[in-house]
This record gives sequence, structure tokens and C-alpha cells, in this order.
Amino acid sequence: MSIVSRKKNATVVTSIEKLASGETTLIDQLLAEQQSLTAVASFSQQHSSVEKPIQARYYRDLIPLNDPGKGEQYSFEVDLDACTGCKSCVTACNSLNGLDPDEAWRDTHLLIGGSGGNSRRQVVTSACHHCEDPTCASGCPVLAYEKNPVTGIVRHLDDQCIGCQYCILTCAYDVPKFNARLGIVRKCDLCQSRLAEGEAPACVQACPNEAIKIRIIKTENIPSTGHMIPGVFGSSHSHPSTVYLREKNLPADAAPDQLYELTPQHAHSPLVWMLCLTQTAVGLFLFQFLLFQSSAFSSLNSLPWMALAGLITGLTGIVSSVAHLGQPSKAWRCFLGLRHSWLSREIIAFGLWMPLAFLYTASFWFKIPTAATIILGATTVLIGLFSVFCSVMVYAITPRPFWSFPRTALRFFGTTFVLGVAGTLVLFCLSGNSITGLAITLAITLTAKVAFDVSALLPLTSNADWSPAKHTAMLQWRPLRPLLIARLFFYLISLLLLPLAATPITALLIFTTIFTGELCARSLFFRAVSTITTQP
Amino acid sequence: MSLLSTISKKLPLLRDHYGPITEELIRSPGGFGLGQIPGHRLPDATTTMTCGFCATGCGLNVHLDKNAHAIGLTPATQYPVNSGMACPKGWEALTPLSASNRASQPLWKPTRNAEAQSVEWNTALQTFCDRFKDIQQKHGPESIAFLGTGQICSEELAFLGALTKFGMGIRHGDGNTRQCMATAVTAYKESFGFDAPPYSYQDFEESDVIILIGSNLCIAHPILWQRIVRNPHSPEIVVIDPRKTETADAATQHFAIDPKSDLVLYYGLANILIQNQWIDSDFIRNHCNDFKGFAQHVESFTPEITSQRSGIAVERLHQLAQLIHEGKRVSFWWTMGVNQGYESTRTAQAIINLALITGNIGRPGTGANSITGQCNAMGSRLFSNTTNLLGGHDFTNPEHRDKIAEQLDIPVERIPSQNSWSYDQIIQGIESGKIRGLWIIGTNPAHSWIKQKRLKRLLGKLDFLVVQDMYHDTETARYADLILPAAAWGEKDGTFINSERRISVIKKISQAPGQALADFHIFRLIAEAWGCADLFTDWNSPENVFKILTRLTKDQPCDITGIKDYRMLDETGGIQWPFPKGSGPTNNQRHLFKDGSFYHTDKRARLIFSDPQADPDPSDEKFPFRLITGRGSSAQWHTQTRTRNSPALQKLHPSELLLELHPDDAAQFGIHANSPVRITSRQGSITVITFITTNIQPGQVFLPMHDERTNQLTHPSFDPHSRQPNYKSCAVRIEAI
Repeated sequence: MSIVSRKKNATVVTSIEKLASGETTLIDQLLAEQQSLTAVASFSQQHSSVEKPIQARYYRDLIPLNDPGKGEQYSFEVDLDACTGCKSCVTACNSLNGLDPDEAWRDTHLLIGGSGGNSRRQVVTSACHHCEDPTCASGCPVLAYEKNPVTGIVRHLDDQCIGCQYCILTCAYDVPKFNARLGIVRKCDLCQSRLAEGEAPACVQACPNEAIKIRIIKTENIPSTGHMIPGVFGSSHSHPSTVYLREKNLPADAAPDQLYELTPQHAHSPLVWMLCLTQTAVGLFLFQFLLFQSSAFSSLNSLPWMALAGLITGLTGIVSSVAHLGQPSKAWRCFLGLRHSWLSREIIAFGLWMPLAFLYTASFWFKIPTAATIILGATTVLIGLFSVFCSVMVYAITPRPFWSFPRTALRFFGTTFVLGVAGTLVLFCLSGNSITGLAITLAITLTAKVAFDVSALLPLTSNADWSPAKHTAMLQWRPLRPLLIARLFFYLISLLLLPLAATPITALLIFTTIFTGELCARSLFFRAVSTITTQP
Repeated sequence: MSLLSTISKKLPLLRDHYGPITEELIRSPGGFGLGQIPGHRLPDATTTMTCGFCATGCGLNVHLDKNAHAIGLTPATQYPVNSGMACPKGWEALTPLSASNRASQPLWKPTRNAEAQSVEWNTALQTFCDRFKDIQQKHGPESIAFLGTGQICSEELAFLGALTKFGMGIRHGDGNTRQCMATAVTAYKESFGFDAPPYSYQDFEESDVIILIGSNLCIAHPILWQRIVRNPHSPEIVVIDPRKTETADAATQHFAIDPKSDLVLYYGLANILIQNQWIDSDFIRNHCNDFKGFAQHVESFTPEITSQRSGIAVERLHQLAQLIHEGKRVSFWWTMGVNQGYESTRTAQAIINLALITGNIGRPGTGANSITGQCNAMGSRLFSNTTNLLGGHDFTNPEHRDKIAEQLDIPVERIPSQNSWSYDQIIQGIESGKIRGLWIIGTNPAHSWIKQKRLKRLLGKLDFLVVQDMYHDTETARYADLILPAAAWGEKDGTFINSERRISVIKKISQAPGQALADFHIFRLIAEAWGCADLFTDWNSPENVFKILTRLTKDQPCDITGIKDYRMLDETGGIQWPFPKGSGPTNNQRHLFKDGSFYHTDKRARLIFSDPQADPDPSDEKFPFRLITGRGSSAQWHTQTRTRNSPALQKLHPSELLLELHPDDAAQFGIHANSPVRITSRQGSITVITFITTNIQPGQVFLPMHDERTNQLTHPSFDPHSRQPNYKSCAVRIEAI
């Protein structure tokens, strides 16, 4: 405050100074009063001795009286006609279960369709469907899921989880949610401790319209085909137990609005590097071994160096995959899921490949019998190819058309082949061999591979209203276009460089541009996948 | 059994069923009738208070730790409003309190463009008084104005209104309630003789025909929809709204009228009802004035003309009229779709007239019922001392001034004898230079006011702007010279009044951050600093002020002299007005006008009507579309200053500003789904993302109001009677980008 204005407003100064004088000013008094909490002292306490939940009067009819019997399990029953989309179920689940502020185990989806007076929007609330055949559990490498034999509740063991997030990919309904603070996923447990005491799950308690109920369902009645809601939420992947009721018909063309949500999926950068590096390594060993076995090239001086390059690449790839885990210290349990988890198998396969590749590479420096080197080399190549196959299966079994077996196999083995050839190109340039044949092979295979990748854009031209394939195409064409352009740019550069590849430097440059192009492609593989959870 | 699973069973080391991470989510019996709740949040006590978002006024059962501090909440199970339920905002009511952008210290900008600096409260108070007194000295006492809110307690609203008008010599003050229910106030006052929403929520459960007009209840008031769901009479639910809203989807019938055609529609319906003698002649004869004139007036609104103007087929008009006729208990409910229009007061009165002429008032399950927006809009209607003199009195009435002066023990000359300017007139006053200083309390006009660009320019033109808010970074606070940090709902005591006239308590269950103070305390400090504290010697606690306010209502329609104290309100689950002294224990779900006597001196209701007016912002070739605005989701509250601080609520609505557009229009203009488009009105132009849907009719588009950009487009026209802005319809064009 300036002195001038103080003088001008003498009365104000007086009252303020009066405020400031004395032991405690009114300001101090009010600040202290502000901090004292008086609700308990000022008002009478209600229900202080009531142990039973008084809310039970509203949900008594919404949950079963008994536990499920033999051949039965609990399931959610959602009355779509009663749901008006207020989404209280989502916040109540968060609040009554003590989840992190941004964590939600219950999702709401929006279906829209129809025209004119028949248009309709339908909010669909969903949590874990406690599937009869839970693919979260079968995919988990460390057995962090178990399906309760009595209740049918699929429980996630939070302390067992290594945070690999593979269950997020194997679930068709986007149920497990990654919690970055804890480095694990968590998910709905049907409030099993509440049901055990005759209390309703949080979402059931909170729905103002009584749209969510818990029912006991015969497991034989859980559909293994068809859809939970006509046209959306397919049942065949894992046999979800949730039952959606409705009398009002949905328009025939009702489709999830998620199609219009062009938000790219998680980038999974450690996995992008892991896949590209390990596939490159397997490719390098493949071609190194083939050259080693051919009479014409077996004496090339730089062959051991090609193996070493493969070893370092593979090692880097495997190490980078650990960065993907939320709880790497628990990852030693990854063998537990070997019986049904392709991720378990992938980890074990690469775990075997690594020492083999090391011994094979070392054998070039230490004089050991040639036969032993050959056996080591052959095993390294075979286990390497099997590891890549496991990588393919990790994605192929997830309910995502973009990651189907033939597409993923073409991509992963394509990378293995193309970069194996590119590595050979470097080797030939180093040793002064003719590269014409190699260069032509490389140009053709690379072009075929890029053409295959670009073919994922074709659904853009289709008139179909929506499909996961079209969603993927739209994701690539709109938000991910820079990545798509980068992928094509690196392809063109490597193609242009090929005729110049006479020096090792140029060859190395070609290898690097192809590898970078593959990184872009693998990044698109993750980011452009359609995870429309309500897909057919 | 496979070897692996045998091993894993035998070796517990291999499977961690329990551990520190699992323990985080253990649920335990909470006691206090709660059932299981998160084990790390077990309460030592609980207490019930009213939610601080909307005017539904749900009871929330707050869980307290041993220091009486809130650690969680559940909807109150035995509360007469919400019976155990809450909408997402209610569940998340505590989260916005702990946001990092809370104002925790007075902030002062030495010059307009300077960085705000923290100052002590005494410096802030002195700056407040120095600057405002300086402006008053130069430009007259009326050159300072205030804009209040419907989000603070009645006691605080009364203190603000009394301090400014009786203590500081300010004449012009209004509240954001002008934006939401001014129309209902004016309509009720003129029709019934007092601003008296006649219903109780119980009426939702007792109607056999429920007519929802411009009201997306499922999203705006989900707990009121719950009351309809609990109606045992399988009621016919009619939604009148241009959009096929969530509520229209859930209703049994939807009348998708053309935007702003409702006045014609209700006159047309009245005409059909009168022509068919589907009216309650006894009720009209005994309790209504001006019926003849009204009947004559609506004669020209033939079904054909009404159909042409509203877009509703003639036979459907007849069906609707017949439904009203055949219903035994017909209730009419309206919200912002009616209130926020350029001829909204007459529209609301046309609805009131339908209820009056069919005798659908004063009986259970009937009424012409305005559902209010903000948690204490109804408190502001009675006690904000803006449009009305405290307690629903009239500034221009000398007897009223004498009564209030005597009750408050203040000189009667302190009470202005003229009405204050309305919100839009205050804004206009800044433009014309008559208003030089502005004090904004608990509202965010830089986001919410119509034709926003102009408002922002005018805020910059002020000599001194004070913003009092719980957040220091609202769109409006960015323009402030001085920011006073306010305690929020949950950090102070007081009362709210909900839509059904229920007065209830809110409590202090959380500590305000830093130096933030309850608005009540801030007003007290300003009274002291301004030098007018002698007028407010008894205004030393919210509860004392509440007792003063109850005394002021004596002999008013809103007489609450029978309410003793906060404890009484707490123990009864809130009390609906009127509750005069001597009222016994009473039904907790009361409606008004049981005996058909209204508040005009002749006890009769008035049928008020006038000719429909032309749209002030007509569509033409350049601006062919009508833009409708409204609530976007149940997880968003108004300008989102609070709800955007809850990550759980943030997940429940689209992150983009989505423009609803009909597929035919999209095809015609070559616009794709989920693509950016430019939308331009005569006021401004913004870029939005398209959402193609047949829920909107061709030629119309819809934007939710919660995004700051929406009000760059809205048209600055007002209802002439209520001065409520016309948010709901303006002319726009859409261009693909």
C-alpha cells in the first residue's frame, strides 16, 4: 500500500489498525476458527451403534440370498432399459473400494444408432465379466489370477503380479487396469468380501435405478458364442458371465461411439525395441549360420563378428523388455504360466536362446570341435526362430484382428528375414563380395513387407460403417499419420541407398534405416490396434 | 492336477495371495450402519450434510476421523431427498477440496499485467477498501457492483447482500442465479404472488403423467430421475425437448419440438384443452384470474399453426392434450431449456397456465414445477438481497424496508429504495463507464457469461476487480487485481435450500487450505475494515445469522420462524418452507397450494400471457443452423472449476468439446465424424470435434456448456421480464476444416 492512499483513506487505516492491535486480531481469531472442525461436537451422532448396513434395505433384492451351488457362479445382471448413463456406479466403485483417484474398474461405453424417432443411445456399464474361461488367467505368465471354484469370481493376486500388462491384451473387454503407482494391474473382484457378508457390491449399492444386480448363473448357461448385446460384446473369446437385459430394442445399426474416439493405444516402447531387436538378432544368427554352413562363405573373416553383432542386439532386446515390467523383481516366477501362457513360453524360449547364442558366438574365438559349433549354431537358430514364433503367438491369441496369426507372423518373421539379409549385406560389403543378388532380394522383400503394412489402410475405402479394421486404418490415417509417413520415409531412403551400397558404411546405413523403419512399423503395430471392447 | 499347480500349491513362496499391495484394498466393516468400506478409511464418527453441487440437495453421509476430518463419504441412506443414492459428483464431493490449485493466500497484482503476489489478509483487506472507496469517491457509491452466486450458504448470501447494500452503499448487485432460475422467480412471482416452487420431490412418485420440459433430468438431476423410477403408478413420462436427450431416451414419449417454439406449443395445447372443455372450470372460477382473456388469446393458436411452428404433427398435439386431460395427477417440470430463453418468463407462465386451467396444482403428484440448478439458488432467491429485499421482501415497498430495518436494528435509510441492476445491466454498466469496480464471489463469468469475448474485454476495462473464490486460477480469477481465498463447501457451516424448498445444513468437515477463509468470515472482516461493522454486531456466526433470517421471514409465504436452530434441521432431515412458529412435527414431503389459495392479495393465481416474439438471433443463409447448448454429462458441473479437479469425474466425459450434428447435415456439408470443424456465430468462432448423431435434428447442432469456448458463440439476448440470458439457441454455421 502506498503512503498516499493510506492518508487519503484515514477511516480505513483506523479500522485496520484496530484489527491489528491487541493480542489476537479478528483475522487471527477467524483463521483459527476456520481450522477447528466442529461437526462432531455440534451435532448428534446417528447410527453410532449400528453394525449392520442400513443401505441394505435398497439392495436386499438385488443380490442372491445363497452362495452359488455346484455348477453355478455369480454374475452381473444389467438392465439396460433402466440405465440412464449417470455413471454413479463408476465413482461408487472407486470410492467404496478405496481405489486411486484416477483408477476405474467399471467402464461405461456408449452405443449409438438408428435415425429420426428411432434413434437411440445406450450407455452400457461393464466391469469384469468373471468369465467362465478367463483369458486374463490363461495368459498370465505368473499365475496371478485365480477363478474361485465356488463363486466363479476371477480374482487378481495383486502381490503376485509382475506388471507385464499382458492380461490387458488378452482380455477382450479391457478389464484389467494398470496402476502406474504400484506397477501392477488391478481389477474388479465382484466385491467378494461384501458378497460373503450378504452386502451388495459397490456398483449395485450405488445405482439409483437398480440397473445392476448380482445373480447366480448356471455355468452351463454361460454362452460361448454370440454376443452379450446383439452385435457387440462378443462372447466367444472367454465366455463372459454378465447378462444384459433389455426390452426396448436397440437400432440394428447401433455401434459403439469408440470408433470415433481416435485415440492411439499405448506405445509400449520397451516392447517395440524388444521385438525389433530380438527379431533382428535371430535374423542375423540365421543368416550367419547359413553362411557358415555354405562352402562358399564359411571362411569369411567377419562371420564371427556377425554372430557377435547378433548377440549384442539380442541381449539389448531382452534387457529392454524388462523395462516394460512394473515389478521386475518378481519376474523370476515367469515359468509358472508355462502350461498355458505364450508370454511365459516367450520368456523361457529367449531365456534359453541367450546362453546358446553366447556359447555359439564364443565358439568362434575358442577352438572347439567344428561339430560342436554346428550343433550350437543349429540349436541357436532353431530356438531363436521358436522364440520369434512365441512372440507371434503372444499377440496372435489376443482378440484383435489387427494382430491375427498370419498378419503378426508375416510382420515378425518379415523383420527377422529382412534384417538378416541387411546384416549379410554389411558383411558382404566388408569382405568385398558381390552384393547384387542380396540387394535385389532385399529390395523385393522389403517392398513386399511395406506393401503388406500399408494394406492395413485399405478399409478406409470401404463403405462399411465401422469395423476394427477400419478403426485401425483411421487411427493410422489420422492421429498416427506422422508415424506412418516416417515408416514410408525410411523405406524409401533404404531403397534409394541400395544401388550405392558398395562400402560397408553405406551398407550399415541401409541396415540402420531398415531397422528404424521396422521400429516405426512395430510402433504402429501397438498404437494403431483397435481395442474397441464392444467389438463383435 | 498338473505338476506345476501342485508345486505352486506346495510352495506358498511361488504364489503371493496376500501381501502389502493386496492389503491396500482390504475392506472392513465401517460401523455406523455403513457396511464394508476401505480398511484404511474407517471412520470414528459420521455426519450428514447436503451436497454442494446441484439444487437436488442430496444428503451425504460424511465419514470422519478422530479429528472430525472427512476421510470419505457415502450417500445418506435415510434422507428424504436421495434415499441412499448420489450422482457421480456427490460421490466425488470431497476430492475438489484438496486440489493443488486451491487459493490459499490472498493474491494481489500491483498492476494489471504483473505477476500476482501473496499478501497478508490485512493488506488484502486494506487494498480492497482503499481501492473501492477511492472509486466510490471519484465516481459515486453506485460505481461499485458485485456478482454473487448460488453456491454459498444462505447466511453468507445474506451477509454479502446486507454488507454491500446496507454497509458499503453499493446499489447494484446480482448473482449467477440470474443465469439459471431468474425466469422461474419472475414467472412464479407474477403468477402466484410469490416466488414459490409448489412441489415436493414426492410428487415425482405420485404423478400418473410427468411432463418434463427442457429438462435432461437423467443427466442434470439423476437423483430426481431415481424418484421417477420409484413411482409405482407406471406413469406416462413425456419429454419436450428439441434434442433426443438421455431423458428422452428413457421417457415413454418424446416431442422433439423446434428450438424456441415452446411458447406457441403451450398456447396451442391450452387452446385444444379449452376447445374440448378439458379444463377444471371450478378451479378456474374459484382460484384463477384473467381466464377469459387467456382463452381468447390462445384461440389464434390453432392446432395447425401450432404444428407448423413447433414441428409437432397435429394428431400428436391432440394426443398430448388428451394425455393431460386424462391424467389424474399431471405434473409439469421445467429446467434450463425453458428458463434460458428470450421469452422464457411467458413460456414458464404458459406451463403454469396449463397446470392451473386443468386443476393440476395443490394436489399430490401435480404442479407447475421449476427444477433449480445450483445447490443454494433457492437460498439466494430468498436471502441474497439482490432482486428481493432479504426474506422475499420488496426494496420499493416502504413497509418492507421498515420491517427489515427494525428487525436488523439498522437505520432504514441504509436500505436502498430502488431495485438493483440485473447481471446484464451491470455488465452494460461497465461498458458505459458507470461501473468501475466489481467484486465477483464464487462464480466464473469469464467462462459462463453469454458472448464471452465482450465480457472478458469489459473485465479488463474495470479500475479494480476482486475475485473471491476457492481456486486462484478460474477463467475469471485470471483477470482479477485481488483474489480473496475462500473456504469451500465442507469447510464451513451454513444452510442451503434445495429445489423443493428444503432448508438443510452443511458442515465444516475439512480444513481450508492455508489462509483461506469462509466467505462468511471474509464478509465479517470486510465489514470491519470498511468501518460498518457496527451494523452487523449480531452477525458473528452463521447460526446467529440463520436465526436473524428466520425472524425476517415472519408473515411471509416463506415463513420459517418455527425452525429453532441447525440441530433441528439436522435431526429432521431438512425442513421445507413454510414452517411458521407453532408448526408441529410435520410431513417431510410437503407441496403448496393445497387449499387453492395463492399469494396475491386476492388469493387468486393469474393467467399471464403475451404474444410470442421473433427470435432475436434468426437463422439466415449465412448462419443456417441453430446451436443448442446444455449439460454434457452428470460428471461435469457448470464451468468445471471443481469437477475438473476430480480425476474420477474427468474419466466420465469426452475429453474433447464435441459438436452433435445430424448425419444428413454432415453429409451435405462434407463433414466427417470425429473431425475438427469450425463453428461460427454472429458473436464468435471456435473449432470443435464432430459427433455425428441422430439424437439431434437436421438443422440443429448441440454443444455442452461446460467447455469455456461454448459461450464465445452464444447470443446476448435476454428475457425482458427476468433478464435471464438466452443461452439455448443462436444462429451458427458449420465449416469443415
